[in-house]
Amino acid sequence: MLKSMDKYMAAAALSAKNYLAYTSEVIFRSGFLVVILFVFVNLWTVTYSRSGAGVIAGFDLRQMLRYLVFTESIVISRPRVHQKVEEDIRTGAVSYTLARPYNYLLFQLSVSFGERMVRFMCTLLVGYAVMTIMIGPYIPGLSALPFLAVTVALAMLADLIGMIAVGLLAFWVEDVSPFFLVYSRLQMLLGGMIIPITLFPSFLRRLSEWLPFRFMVYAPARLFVDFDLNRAWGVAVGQILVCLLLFLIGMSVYRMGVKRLDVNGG
Amino acid sequence: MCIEVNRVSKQYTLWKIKGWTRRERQVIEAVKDVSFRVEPGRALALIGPNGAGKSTMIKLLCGILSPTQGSIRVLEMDPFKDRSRLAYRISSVFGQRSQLWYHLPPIDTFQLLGRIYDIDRVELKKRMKELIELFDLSSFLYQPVRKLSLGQRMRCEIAAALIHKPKILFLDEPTIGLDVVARSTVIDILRDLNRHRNVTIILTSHDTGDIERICEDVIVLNEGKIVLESKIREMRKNFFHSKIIEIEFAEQPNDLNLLPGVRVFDQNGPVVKLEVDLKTCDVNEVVSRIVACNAVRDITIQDPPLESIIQHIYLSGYSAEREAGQNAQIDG
Repeated sequence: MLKSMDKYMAAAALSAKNYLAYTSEVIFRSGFLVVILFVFVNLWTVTYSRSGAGVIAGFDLRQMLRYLVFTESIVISRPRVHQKVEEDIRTGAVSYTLARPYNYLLFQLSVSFGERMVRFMCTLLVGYAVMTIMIGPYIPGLSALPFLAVTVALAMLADLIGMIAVGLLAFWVEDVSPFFLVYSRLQMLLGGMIIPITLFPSFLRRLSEWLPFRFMVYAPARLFVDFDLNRAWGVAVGQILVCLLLFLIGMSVYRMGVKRLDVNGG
Repeated sequence: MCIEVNRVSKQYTLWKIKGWTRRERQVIEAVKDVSFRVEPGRALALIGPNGAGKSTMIKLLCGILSPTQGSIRVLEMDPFKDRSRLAYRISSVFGQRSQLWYHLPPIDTFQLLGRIYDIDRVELKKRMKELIELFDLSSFLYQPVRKLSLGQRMRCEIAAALIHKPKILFLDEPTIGLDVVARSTVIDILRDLNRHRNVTIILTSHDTGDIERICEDVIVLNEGKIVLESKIREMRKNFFHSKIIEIEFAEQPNDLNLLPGVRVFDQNGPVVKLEVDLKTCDVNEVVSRIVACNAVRDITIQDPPLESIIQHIYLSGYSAEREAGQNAQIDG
Protein backbone atom coordinates (compact mmCIF):
# COMPACT_ATOMS: atom_id res chain seq x y z
CA MET A 1 0.00 0.00 0.00
CA LEU A 2 2.73 2.45 1.08
CA LYS A 3 4.82 1.36 -1.90
CA SER A 4 1.98 2.10 -4.30
CA MET A 5 1.46 5.52 -2.66
CA ASP A 6 5.14 6.36 -3.17
CA LYS A 7 4.55 7.71 -6.70
CA TYR A 8 1.80 10.03 -5.48
CA MET A 9 3.93 11.37 -2.65
CA ALA A 10 6.74 11.99 -5.13
CA ALA A 11 4.29 13.84 -7.42
CA ALA A 12 3.12 16.02 -4.51
CA ALA A 13 6.71 16.87 -3.54
CA LEU A 14 7.64 17.72 -7.13
CA SER A 15 4.54 19.85 -7.51
CA ALA A 16 5.48 21.82 -4.38
CA LYS A 17 8.93 22.39 -5.85
CA ASN A 18 7.43 23.38 -9.21
CA TYR A 19 5.13 25.88 -7.54
CA LEU A 20 8.05 27.71 -5.99
CA ALA A 21 8.62 29.07 -9.52
CA TYR A 22 5.46 31.15 -9.03
CA THR A 23 6.79 33.22 -6.13
CA SER A 24 5.34 36.46 -7.52
CA GLU A 25 1.85 34.94 -7.61
CA VAL A 26 2.26 33.68 -4.04
CA ILE A 27 3.26 37.16 -2.89
CA PHE A 28 0.33 38.78 -4.72
CA ARG A 29 -2.16 36.34 -3.24
CA SER A 30 -0.74 36.86 0.23
CA GLY A 31 -1.00 40.62 -0.28
CA PHE A 32 -4.68 40.17 -1.05
CA LEU A 33 -5.05 38.42 2.32
CA VAL A 34 -3.73 41.57 4.06
CA VAL A 35 -6.53 43.62 2.47
CA ILE A 36 -9.18 41.07 3.48
CA LEU A 37 -7.88 40.94 7.02
CA PHE A 38 -7.76 44.71 7.32
CA VAL A 39 -11.44 44.95 6.32
CA PHE A 40 -12.58 42.14 8.61
CA VAL A 41 -10.54 43.27 11.63
CA ASN A 42 -12.32 46.62 11.43
CA LEU A 43 -15.71 45.01 10.80
CA TRP A 44 -15.50 42.60 13.74
CA THR A 45 -14.02 45.28 16.05
CA VAL A 46 -17.06 47.48 15.39
CA THR A 47 -19.45 44.50 15.76
CA TYR A 48 -18.00 43.49 19.13
CA SER A 49 -17.88 47.06 20.48
CA ARG A 50 -21.45 47.88 19.33
CA SER A 51 -22.92 44.64 20.72
CA GLY A 52 -21.07 45.10 23.99
CA ALA A 53 -20.62 41.33 24.20
CA GLY A 54 -17.18 39.98 25.01
CA VAL A 55 -17.98 36.62 23.39
CA ILE A 56 -20.14 35.98 20.31
CA ALA A 57 -21.08 32.38 19.44
CA GLY A 58 -18.20 31.06 21.54
CA PHE A 59 -15.54 33.37 20.05
CA ASP A 60 -14.02 36.48 21.59
CA LEU A 61 -12.68 39.17 19.24
CA ARG A 62 -9.14 37.80 19.15
CA GLN A 63 -10.33 34.27 18.47
CA MET A 64 -12.63 35.54 15.76
CA LEU A 65 -9.74 37.28 14.00
CA ARG A 66 -7.47 34.24 14.35
CA TYR A 67 -10.30 32.11 12.97
CA LEU A 68 -10.53 34.43 9.98
CA VAL A 69 -6.78 34.29 9.31
CA PHE A 70 -6.94 30.52 9.29
CA THR A 71 -10.05 30.11 7.13
CA GLU A 72 -8.84 32.69 4.61
CA SER A 73 -5.44 30.97 4.41
CA ILE A 74 -7.17 27.66 3.65
CA VAL A 75 -9.49 29.09 1.00
CA ILE A 76 -7.02 31.46 -0.70
CA SER A 77 -4.46 28.65 -1.01
CA ARG A 78 -6.83 26.69 -3.26
CA PRO A 79 -5.24 25.89 -6.66
CA ARG A 80 -7.35 25.84 -9.83
CA VAL A 81 -7.33 22.05 -10.10
CA HIS A 82 -10.91 21.94 -11.47
CA GLN A 83 -9.74 24.03 -14.43
CA LYS A 84 -6.74 21.77 -14.99
CA VAL A 85 -8.98 18.68 -15.04
CA GLU A 86 -11.45 20.46 -17.31
CA GLU A 87 -8.65 21.40 -19.71
CA ASP A 88 -7.27 17.83 -19.69
CA ILE A 89 -10.69 16.54 -20.68
CA ARG A 90 -11.39 19.22 -23.27
CA THR A 91 -8.01 18.85 -24.98
CA GLY A 92 -8.06 15.06 -24.78
CA ALA A 93 -4.90 15.02 -22.61
CA VAL A 94 -6.73 12.87 -20.07
CA SER A 95 -6.87 9.99 -22.57
CA TYR A 96 -3.06 9.87 -22.79
CA THR A 97 -2.77 9.49 -19.01
CA LEU A 98 -4.65 6.18 -19.34
CA ALA A 99 -1.50 4.66 -20.78
CA ARG A 100 0.51 5.57 -17.66
CA PRO A 101 0.62 3.37 -14.57
CA TYR A 102 -1.17 5.68 -12.16
CA ASN A 103 -4.64 6.64 -11.11
CA TYR A 104 -5.53 9.97 -12.76
CA LEU A 105 -7.63 11.18 -9.86
CA LEU A 106 -4.98 10.36 -7.25
CA PHE A 107 -2.28 11.90 -9.43
CA GLN A 108 -4.18 15.18 -9.84
CA LEU A 109 -4.93 15.14 -6.13
CA SER A 110 -1.24 14.73 -5.27
CA VAL A 111 -0.10 17.43 -7.67
CA SER A 112 -2.70 19.93 -6.46
CA PHE A 113 -2.03 19.04 -2.83
CA GLY A 114 1.71 19.73 -3.21
CA GLU A 115 0.96 23.10 -4.77
CA ARG A 116 -1.63 23.94 -2.13
CA MET A 117 0.70 23.19 0.77
CA VAL A 118 3.19 25.77 -0.53
CA ARG A 119 0.45 28.34 -1.05
CA PHE A 120 -1.04 27.67 2.38
CA MET A 121 2.29 28.02 4.17
CA CYS A 122 2.92 31.36 2.43
CA THR A 123 -0.53 32.81 3.09
CA LEU A 124 -0.58 31.57 6.67
CA LEU A 125 2.81 33.14 7.27
CA VAL A 126 1.62 36.51 5.95
CA GLY A 127 -1.71 36.23 7.80
CA TYR A 128 0.05 35.27 11.01
CA ALA A 129 2.38 38.26 10.71
CA VAL A 130 -0.56 40.65 10.13
CA MET A 131 -2.47 39.07 13.01
CA THR A 132 0.54 39.41 15.34
CA ILE A 133 0.91 43.10 14.47
CA MET A 134 -2.80 43.79 14.97
CA ILE A 135 -3.74 41.71 17.98
CA GLY A 136 -0.53 40.23 19.32
CA PRO A 137 1.12 36.81 18.95
CA TYR A 138 -0.64 33.47 19.29
CA ILE A 139 1.01 30.08 19.66
CA PRO A 140 -1.21 27.00 19.84
CA GLY A 141 -0.06 24.35 22.34
CA LEU A 142 2.68 22.00 21.16
CA SER A 143 0.39 18.97 21.59
CA ALA A 144 -2.14 20.62 19.27
CA LEU A 145 0.30 21.07 16.39
CA PRO A 146 0.28 17.48 15.00
CA PHE A 147 -3.53 17.42 15.09
CA LEU A 148 -3.71 20.82 13.42
CA ALA A 149 -1.33 19.68 10.68
CA VAL A 150 -3.33 16.51 10.05
CA THR A 151 -6.75 18.18 10.09
CA VAL A 152 -5.57 20.99 7.78
CA ALA A 153 -4.12 18.43 5.36
CA LEU A 154 -7.34 16.39 5.43
CA ALA A 155 -9.45 19.54 4.98
CA MET A 156 -7.44 20.44 1.89
CA LEU A 157 -7.60 16.91 0.50
CA ALA A 158 -11.38 16.82 0.91
CA ASP A 159 -11.72 20.17 -0.83
CA LEU A 160 -9.38 19.16 -3.66
CA ILE A 161 -11.26 15.92 -4.28
CA GLY A 162 -14.48 17.95 -4.45
CA MET A 163 -12.87 20.35 -6.93
CA ILE A 164 -11.55 17.50 -9.08
CA ALA A 165 -15.03 15.93 -9.11
CA VAL A 166 -16.41 19.28 -10.33
CA GLY A 167 -13.70 19.41 -13.03
CA LEU A 168 -14.62 15.87 -14.14
CA LEU A 169 -18.07 17.13 -15.12
CA ALA A 170 -16.31 18.43 -18.25
CA PHE A 171 -16.87 14.94 -19.65
CA TRP A 172 -20.51 16.00 -20.06
CA VAL A 173 -20.56 19.82 -20.14
CA GLU A 174 -18.54 22.37 -22.09
CA ASP A 175 -17.85 24.67 -19.14
CA VAL A 176 -17.62 23.63 -15.48
CA SER A 177 -17.27 27.16 -14.08
CA PRO A 178 -21.01 27.49 -13.12
CA PHE A 179 -20.73 24.26 -11.13
CA PHE A 180 -17.55 25.44 -9.46
CA LEU A 181 -19.20 28.75 -8.62
CA VAL A 182 -22.01 26.91 -6.81
CA TYR A 183 -19.48 24.61 -5.07
CA SER A 184 -17.24 27.46 -3.89
CA ARG A 185 -20.15 29.64 -2.74
CA LEU A 186 -21.67 26.76 -0.78
CA GLN A 187 -18.30 26.16 0.80
CA MET A 188 -17.89 29.87 1.59
CA LEU A 189 -21.31 30.16 3.19
CA LEU A 190 -21.96 26.74 4.72
CA GLY A 191 -18.32 25.87 5.37
CA GLY A 192 -17.91 28.85 7.70
CA MET A 193 -15.28 30.75 5.75
CA ILE A 194 -16.36 34.26 6.77
CA ILE A 195 -18.69 33.55 9.68
CA PRO A 196 -18.23 30.59 12.06
CA ILE A 197 -21.02 28.03 11.79
CA THR A 198 -21.91 28.58 15.47
CA LEU A 199 -23.19 32.03 14.47
CA PHE A 200 -25.70 30.61 11.98
CA PRO A 201 -29.42 30.33 12.71
CA SER A 202 -30.25 26.83 13.94
CA PHE A 203 -31.72 25.51 10.65
CA LEU A 204 -28.60 26.58 8.69
CA ARG A 205 -26.35 25.13 11.37
CA ARG A 206 -28.18 21.82 11.14
CA LEU A 207 -27.93 21.91 7.35
CA SER A 208 -24.20 22.60 7.41
CA GLU A 209 -23.68 19.73 9.84
CA TRP A 210 -25.00 17.37 7.16
CA LEU A 211 -22.77 18.78 4.44
CA PRO A 212 -19.05 18.10 3.94
CA PHE A 213 -18.05 21.78 3.71
CA ARG A 214 -17.61 22.36 7.44
CA PHE A 215 -14.84 19.73 7.48
CA MET A 216 -13.00 21.70 4.82
CA VAL A 217 -12.91 25.09 6.54
CA TYR A 218 -14.70 25.53 9.87
CA ALA A 219 -13.55 22.41 11.72
CA PRO A 220 -9.75 22.86 11.42
CA ALA A 221 -10.03 26.64 11.97
CA ARG A 222 -12.05 26.09 15.14
CA LEU A 223 -9.35 23.72 16.39
CA PHE A 224 -6.73 26.37 15.63
CA VAL A 225 -8.34 28.98 17.85
CA ASP A 226 -9.74 26.68 20.53
CA PHE A 227 -8.04 23.29 20.58
CA ASP A 228 -9.81 20.36 22.18
CA LEU A 229 -8.40 16.84 21.90
CA ASN A 230 -11.75 15.03 21.80
CA ARG A 231 -13.08 17.39 19.16
CA ALA A 232 -9.83 16.98 17.19
CA TRP A 233 -10.32 13.19 16.99
CA GLY A 234 -13.93 13.67 15.91
CA VAL A 235 -12.89 16.16 13.22
CA ALA A 236 -10.14 13.88 11.88
CA VAL A 237 -12.46 10.86 11.67
CA GLY A 238 -15.18 12.96 10.01
CA GLN A 239 -12.68 14.34 7.50
CA ILE A 240 -11.41 10.87 6.60
CA LEU A 241 -14.98 9.71 5.97
CA VAL A 242 -15.69 12.80 3.86
CA CYS A 243 -12.49 12.23 1.86
CA LEU A 244 -13.41 8.58 1.22
CA LEU A 245 -16.96 9.45 0.24
CA LEU A 246 -15.90 12.24 -2.11
CA PHE A 247 -13.17 10.04 -3.59
CA LEU A 248 -15.69 7.29 -4.32
CA ILE A 249 -17.98 9.84 -5.97
CA GLY A 250 -15.03 11.26 -7.93
CA MET A 251 -13.91 7.80 -9.09
CA SER A 252 -17.43 6.90 -10.21
CA VAL A 253 -17.68 10.13 -12.20
CA TYR A 254 -14.21 9.49 -13.68
CA ARG A 255 -15.05 5.91 -14.70
CA MET A 256 -18.27 7.00 -16.35
CA GLY A 257 -16.37 9.78 -18.12
CA VAL A 258 -13.63 7.48 -19.36
CA LYS A 259 -16.29 5.23 -20.91
CA ARG A 260 -17.56 8.27 -22.83
CA LEU A 261 -14.01 8.98 -23.92
CA ASP A 262 -13.83 5.57 -25.57
CA VAL A 263 -17.16 6.13 -27.30
CA ASN A 264 -16.19 9.62 -28.49
CA GLY A 265 -12.72 8.66 -29.63
CA GLY A 266 -10.38 10.03 -26.97
CA MET B 1 4.81 -11.80 -31.85
CA CYS B 2 5.05 -8.28 -30.53
CA ILE B 3 1.83 -6.85 -31.92
CA GLU B 4 -1.09 -8.62 -33.55
CA VAL B 5 -3.98 -6.62 -34.91
CA ASN B 6 -6.80 -8.74 -36.26
CA ARG B 7 -9.64 -7.18 -38.29
CA VAL B 8 -9.93 -4.17 -36.02
CA SER B 9 -12.50 -1.44 -36.52
CA LYS B 10 -13.13 1.57 -34.33
CA GLN B 11 -16.22 3.73 -34.46
CA TYR B 12 -16.79 7.08 -32.76
CA THR B 13 -19.97 8.89 -32.05
CA LEU B 14 -20.16 12.56 -32.88
CA TRP B 15 -23.06 14.87 -32.18
CA LYS B 16 -23.73 17.48 -34.82
CA ILE B 17 -25.56 20.59 -33.71
CA LYS B 18 -28.20 21.58 -36.21
CA GLY B 19 -30.14 24.77 -35.68
CA TRP B 20 -30.82 25.94 -32.11
CA THR B 21 -31.65 22.75 -30.30
CA ARG B 22 -31.48 19.83 -32.72
CA ARG B 23 -28.61 17.41 -32.31
CA GLU B 24 -27.84 14.72 -34.81
CA ARG B 25 -25.86 11.59 -34.02
CA GLN B 26 -23.14 10.74 -36.46
CA VAL B 27 -21.07 7.55 -36.34
CA ILE B 28 -17.54 7.90 -37.66
CA GLU B 29 -15.51 4.84 -38.56
CA ALA B 30 -11.96 5.95 -37.81
CA VAL B 31 -10.39 2.53 -38.39
CA LYS B 32 -11.90 -0.03 -40.76
CA ASP B 33 -11.07 -3.73 -40.70
CA VAL B 34 -7.34 -3.28 -40.13
CA SER B 35 -5.05 -6.29 -39.68
CA PHE B 36 -1.28 -6.45 -39.34
CA ARG B 37 1.47 -8.00 -37.25
CA VAL B 38 4.79 -6.69 -36.00
CA GLU B 39 7.74 -8.84 -34.96
CA PRO B 40 9.86 -7.79 -31.95
CA GLY B 41 12.62 -5.30 -32.75
CA ARG B 42 11.05 -3.99 -35.97
CA ALA B 43 10.31 -0.36 -36.77
CA LEU B 44 6.94 0.24 -38.40
CA ALA B 45 5.65 3.51 -39.79
CA LEU B 46 1.97 4.33 -39.95
CA ILE B 47 1.52 7.04 -42.49
CA GLY B 48 -1.39 8.77 -44.12
CA PRO B 49 -3.05 12.15 -44.47
CA ASN B 50 -4.95 13.88 -41.65
CA GLY B 51 -7.91 11.83 -40.49
CA ALA B 52 -6.47 8.62 -41.91
CA GLY B 53 -6.73 6.84 -38.54
CA LYS B 54 -3.03 6.80 -37.54
CA SER B 55 -3.45 8.36 -34.10
CA THR B 56 -6.54 6.25 -33.40
CA MET B 57 -4.50 3.15 -34.27
CA ILE B 58 -1.76 4.20 -31.81
CA LYS B 59 -4.40 4.85 -29.12
CA LEU B 60 -5.86 1.40 -29.74
CA LEU B 61 -2.42 -0.20 -29.47
CA CYS B 62 -1.65 1.64 -26.20
CA GLY B 63 -5.00 0.59 -24.69
CA ILE B 64 -6.36 4.13 -24.54
CA LEU B 65 -9.27 3.09 -26.75
CA SER B 66 -10.98 -0.25 -27.20
CA PRO B 67 -11.76 -1.63 -30.67
CA THR B 68 -15.41 -1.70 -31.72
CA GLN B 69 -14.68 -4.92 -33.58
CA GLY B 70 -11.73 -7.27 -33.88
CA SER B 71 -8.92 -8.02 -31.48
CA ILE B 72 -5.52 -6.61 -30.56
CA ARG B 73 -2.66 -8.34 -28.73
CA VAL B 74 0.36 -6.35 -27.63
CA LEU B 75 3.12 -8.32 -25.87
CA GLU B 76 0.59 -11.13 -25.36
CA MET B 77 -1.83 -8.78 -23.60
CA ASP B 78 -5.13 -7.18 -24.49
CA PRO B 79 -4.10 -3.52 -24.36
CA PHE B 80 -7.48 -2.19 -23.24
CA LYS B 81 -8.18 -4.83 -20.58
CA ASP B 82 -4.57 -5.13 -19.33
CA ARG B 83 -3.82 -1.43 -19.66
CA SER B 84 -2.20 -0.95 -16.24
CA ARG B 85 0.04 -4.03 -16.65
CA LEU B 86 0.94 -3.12 -20.22
CA ALA B 87 1.84 0.46 -19.20
CA TYR B 88 5.00 -0.88 -17.54
CA ARG B 89 6.17 -2.51 -20.78
CA ILE B 90 5.36 0.06 -23.42
CA SER B 91 5.88 3.79 -23.73
CA SER B 92 4.60 6.59 -25.87
CA VAL B 93 5.68 10.00 -27.07
CA PHE B 94 2.99 12.23 -28.47
CA GLY B 95 4.69 15.10 -30.27
CA GLN B 96 2.43 17.85 -29.02
CA ARG B 97 1.93 16.57 -25.46
CA SER B 98 4.76 16.92 -23.01
CA GLN B 99 5.24 14.90 -19.86
CA LEU B 100 8.09 17.14 -18.69
CA TRP B 101 7.46 19.61 -15.85
CA TYR B 102 7.71 23.03 -17.44
CA HIS B 103 9.35 24.99 -14.61
CA LEU B 104 11.66 22.23 -13.41
CA PRO B 105 14.79 20.67 -14.90
CA PRO B 106 14.33 17.41 -16.85
CA ILE B 107 16.15 15.42 -14.16
CA ASP B 108 13.22 16.03 -11.80
CA THR B 109 10.77 14.52 -14.29
CA PHE B 110 13.08 11.51 -14.77
CA GLN B 111 13.17 10.93 -11.03
CA LEU B 112 9.39 11.22 -10.74
CA LEU B 113 8.91 8.79 -13.63
CA GLY B 114 11.25 6.40 -11.87
CA ARG B 115 8.88 6.42 -8.89
CA ILE B 116 5.79 6.19 -11.14
CA TYR B 117 7.21 3.07 -12.82
CA ASP B 118 8.30 1.61 -9.45
CA ILE B 119 11.97 1.51 -10.41
CA ASP B 120 14.42 0.72 -7.67
CA ARG B 121 16.58 3.77 -6.75
CA VAL B 122 19.91 2.15 -7.64
CA GLU B 123 18.50 0.86 -10.93
CA LEU B 124 17.02 4.29 -11.68
CA LYS B 125 20.35 6.00 -11.13
CA LYS B 126 22.02 3.56 -13.51
CA ARG B 127 19.26 3.94 -16.07
CA MET B 128 19.38 7.75 -15.94
CA LYS B 129 23.14 7.69 -16.44
CA GLU B 130 22.70 5.56 -19.56
CA LEU B 131 20.00 7.78 -21.01
CA ILE B 132 21.89 10.99 -20.24
CA GLU B 133 24.86 9.63 -22.17
CA LEU B 134 22.79 8.22 -25.01
CA PHE B 135 20.82 11.44 -25.56
CA ASP B 136 23.71 13.75 -24.61
CA LEU B 137 21.61 15.57 -22.02
CA SER B 138 24.28 16.46 -19.46
CA SER B 139 24.72 20.10 -20.57
CA PHE B 140 21.08 21.03 -19.92
CA LEU B 141 19.95 18.41 -17.43
CA TYR B 142 19.58 20.95 -14.63
CA GLN B 143 18.03 23.75 -16.70
CA PRO B 144 14.29 24.40 -16.39
CA VAL B 145 12.42 22.81 -19.30
CA ARG B 146 10.96 26.18 -20.30
CA LYS B 147 14.48 27.35 -21.20
CA LEU B 148 15.29 24.40 -23.47
CA SER B 149 15.09 24.49 -27.25
CA LEU B 150 12.45 22.35 -28.96
CA GLY B 151 15.08 19.82 -30.01
CA GLN B 152 16.52 19.53 -26.49
CA ARG B 153 13.02 19.15 -25.13
CA MET B 154 12.17 16.36 -27.56
CA ARG B 155 15.38 14.50 -26.63
CA CYS B 156 14.32 14.76 -22.99
CA GLU B 157 10.78 13.59 -23.87
CA ILE B 158 12.11 10.47 -25.58
CA ALA B 159 14.60 9.82 -22.76
CA ALA B 160 11.74 10.17 -20.25
CA ALA B 161 9.68 7.68 -22.24
CA LEU B 162 12.51 5.14 -22.04
CA ILE B 163 13.18 5.37 -18.32
CA HIS B 164 11.39 2.06 -17.59
CA LYS B 165 13.03 0.16 -20.49
CA PRO B 166 9.87 -0.35 -22.56
CA LYS B 167 9.78 -3.11 -25.15
CA ILE B 168 7.70 -0.99 -27.54
CA LEU B 169 7.90 2.75 -28.14
CA PHE B 170 4.92 4.44 -29.78
CA LEU B 171 5.68 7.79 -31.33
CA ASP B 172 2.98 10.05 -32.71
CA GLU B 173 4.52 12.82 -34.82
CA PRO B 174 7.73 13.06 -32.72
CA THR B 175 9.47 15.49 -35.07
CA ILE B 176 6.61 17.94 -35.45
CA GLY B 177 7.82 21.53 -35.17
CA LEU B 178 11.52 20.63 -34.99
CA ASP B 179 14.15 22.38 -37.10
CA VAL B 180 16.35 20.39 -39.50
CA VAL B 181 19.21 19.84 -37.03
CA ALA B 182 16.99 18.84 -34.10
CA ARG B 183 14.94 16.57 -36.35
CA SER B 184 18.06 14.84 -37.58
CA THR B 185 19.33 14.26 -34.02
CA VAL B 186 15.99 12.80 -32.90
CA ILE B 187 15.85 10.53 -35.95
CA ASP B 188 19.40 9.27 -35.32
CA ILE B 189 18.53 8.47 -31.71
CA LEU B 190 15.37 6.61 -32.66
CA ARG B 191 17.21 4.60 -35.29
CA ASP B 192 19.90 3.71 -32.77
CA LEU B 193 17.28 2.60 -30.24
CA ASN B 194 15.67 0.34 -32.76
CA ARG B 195 18.79 -1.07 -34.45
CA HIS B 196 21.08 -1.48 -31.44
CA ARG B 197 18.84 -1.63 -28.40
CA ASN B 198 16.08 -3.79 -29.84
CA VAL B 199 13.24 -1.40 -29.00
CA THR B 200 10.25 -1.99 -31.27
CA ILE B 201 9.15 1.32 -32.74
CA ILE B 202 5.72 2.22 -34.05
CA LEU B 203 5.82 5.67 -35.58
CA THR B 204 3.29 7.97 -37.17
CA SER B 205 4.41 10.94 -39.18
CA HIS B 206 3.43 13.10 -42.09
CA ASP B 207 7.04 13.27 -43.15
CA THR B 208 8.12 10.48 -45.47
CA GLY B 209 11.77 11.51 -45.03
CA ASP B 210 11.68 10.77 -41.27
CA ILE B 211 10.02 7.46 -41.88
CA GLU B 212 12.55 6.30 -44.43
CA ARG B 213 15.41 6.91 -42.04
CA ILE B 214 13.87 5.14 -39.05
CA CYS B 215 11.56 2.40 -40.25
CA GLU B 216 11.91 -0.74 -42.32
CA ASP B 217 8.19 -1.37 -42.75
CA VAL B 218 5.34 0.92 -43.61
CA ILE B 219 1.58 0.83 -43.51
CA VAL B 220 -0.23 3.53 -45.44
CA LEU B 221 -3.65 4.34 -44.05
CA ASN B 222 -6.32 6.34 -45.78
CA GLU B 223 -9.82 6.93 -44.46
CA GLY B 224 -9.23 4.29 -41.79
CA LYS B 225 -8.22 1.52 -44.19
CA ILE B 226 -4.84 0.03 -45.03
CA VAL B 227 -4.08 1.00 -48.61
CA LEU B 228 -0.53 -0.30 -48.63
CA GLU B 229 1.53 -2.56 -46.42
CA SER B 230 5.09 -2.89 -47.56
CA LYS B 231 8.80 -2.58 -46.89
CA ILE B 232 9.98 1.02 -47.05
CA ARG B 233 12.47 0.28 -49.83
CA GLU B 234 9.75 -1.35 -51.92
CA MET B 235 7.49 1.58 -51.37
CA ARG B 236 10.25 3.91 -52.50
CA LYS B 237 10.88 1.80 -55.57
CA ASN B 238 7.21 1.54 -56.49
CA PHE B 239 5.75 4.89 -55.53
CA PHE B 240 8.42 7.54 -54.93
CA HIS B 241 8.87 8.27 -58.62
CA SER B 242 9.16 11.99 -58.33
CA LYS B 243 10.65 14.83 -56.31
CA ILE B 244 9.37 18.35 -55.93
CA ILE B 245 11.97 21.10 -56.35
CA GLU B 246 10.93 24.51 -55.09
CA ILE B 247 13.12 27.30 -56.46
CA GLU B 248 13.03 30.94 -55.51
CA PHE B 249 14.67 32.91 -58.34
CA ALA B 250 16.22 36.34 -57.86
CA GLU B 251 13.86 37.59 -60.59
CA GLN B 252 11.23 36.16 -62.89
CA PRO B 253 13.02 33.30 -64.76
CA ASN B 254 13.25 33.62 -68.55
CA ASP B 255 14.25 30.16 -69.58
CA LEU B 256 14.06 27.20 -67.19
CA ASN B 257 15.85 25.00 -69.65
CA LEU B 258 13.84 21.99 -68.48
CA LEU B 259 14.84 18.45 -69.25
CA PRO B 260 12.34 15.85 -70.43
CA GLY B 261 10.54 14.41 -67.36
CA VAL B 262 10.42 17.78 -65.58
CA ARG B 263 7.22 19.78 -65.47
CA VAL B 264 6.20 23.04 -63.83
CA PHE B 265 3.99 21.99 -60.95
CA ASP B 266 3.18 25.47 -59.66
CA GLN B 267 4.41 29.02 -60.29
CA ASN B 268 3.94 32.14 -58.24
CA GLY B 269 6.09 35.02 -59.53
CA PRO B 270 9.75 34.16 -59.01
CA VAL B 271 8.86 31.00 -56.97
CA VAL B 272 8.55 27.93 -59.16
CA LYS B 273 7.75 24.36 -58.16
CA LEU B 274 8.94 21.63 -60.47
CA GLU B 275 8.04 17.97 -60.43
CA VAL B 276 10.91 15.74 -61.50
CA ASP B 277 10.24 12.23 -62.74
CA LEU B 278 13.10 10.22 -61.21
CA LYS B 279 12.74 7.45 -63.79
CA THR B 280 13.56 9.88 -66.59
CA CYS B 281 16.10 12.25 -65.10
CA ASP B 282 18.30 13.02 -62.14
CA VAL B 283 17.52 15.77 -59.59
CA ASN B 284 21.14 16.97 -59.48
CA GLU B 285 21.21 17.44 -63.22
CA VAL B 286 17.96 19.43 -63.18
CA VAL B 287 19.25 21.71 -60.43
CA SER B 288 22.63 22.21 -62.16
CA ARG B 289 20.99 23.26 -65.41
CA ILE B 290 18.66 25.73 -63.72
CA VAL B 291 21.40 27.28 -61.58
CA ALA B 292 23.63 27.62 -64.65
CA CYS B 293 21.02 29.75 -66.47
CA ASN B 294 19.40 31.76 -63.63
CA ALA B 295 20.23 33.60 -60.42
CA VAL B 296 18.69 31.55 -57.60
CA ARG B 297 17.92 32.71 -54.05
CA ASP B 298 16.79 29.43 -52.49
CA ILE B 299 16.18 25.81 -53.41
CA THR B 300 14.40 23.07 -51.47
CA ILE B 301 13.91 19.48 -52.58
CA GLN B 302 10.97 17.56 -51.14
CA ASP B 303 9.19 14.29 -51.58
CA PRO B 304 5.78 14.59 -53.16
CA PRO B 305 2.99 15.11 -50.62
CA LEU B 306 1.53 11.95 -49.06
CA GLU B 307 -1.81 12.68 -50.69
CA SER B 308 -0.28 12.35 -54.13
CA ILE B 309 1.50 9.10 -53.16
CA ILE B 310 -1.80 7.70 -51.90
CA GLN B 311 -3.50 8.82 -55.09
CA HIS B 312 -0.75 7.08 -57.02
CA ILE B 313 -1.27 3.89 -54.99
CA TYR B 314 -4.97 3.94 -55.85
CA LEU B 315 -4.34 4.74 -59.49
CA SER B 316 -1.87 1.91 -59.85
CA GLY B 317 -4.46 -0.49 -58.44
CA TYR B 318 -2.09 -1.47 -55.67
CA SER B 319 -3.65 -2.37 -52.33
CA ALA B 320 -2.74 -4.22 -49.19
CA GLU B 321 -5.21 -6.97 -49.93
CA ARG B 322 -3.85 -7.57 -53.41
CA GLU B 323 -0.24 -7.44 -52.31
CA ALA B 324 -0.26 -9.64 -49.28
CA GLY B 325 -3.71 -11.02 -48.57
CA GLN B 326 -5.93 -10.09 -45.65
CA ASN B 327 -3.51 -10.85 -42.87
CA ALA B 328 -0.06 -10.01 -44.07
CA GLN B 329 2.81 -10.46 -41.70
CA ILE B 330 5.63 -8.00 -41.46
CA ASP B 331 8.49 -10.32 -40.74
CA GLY B 332 11.73 -8.86 -42.02
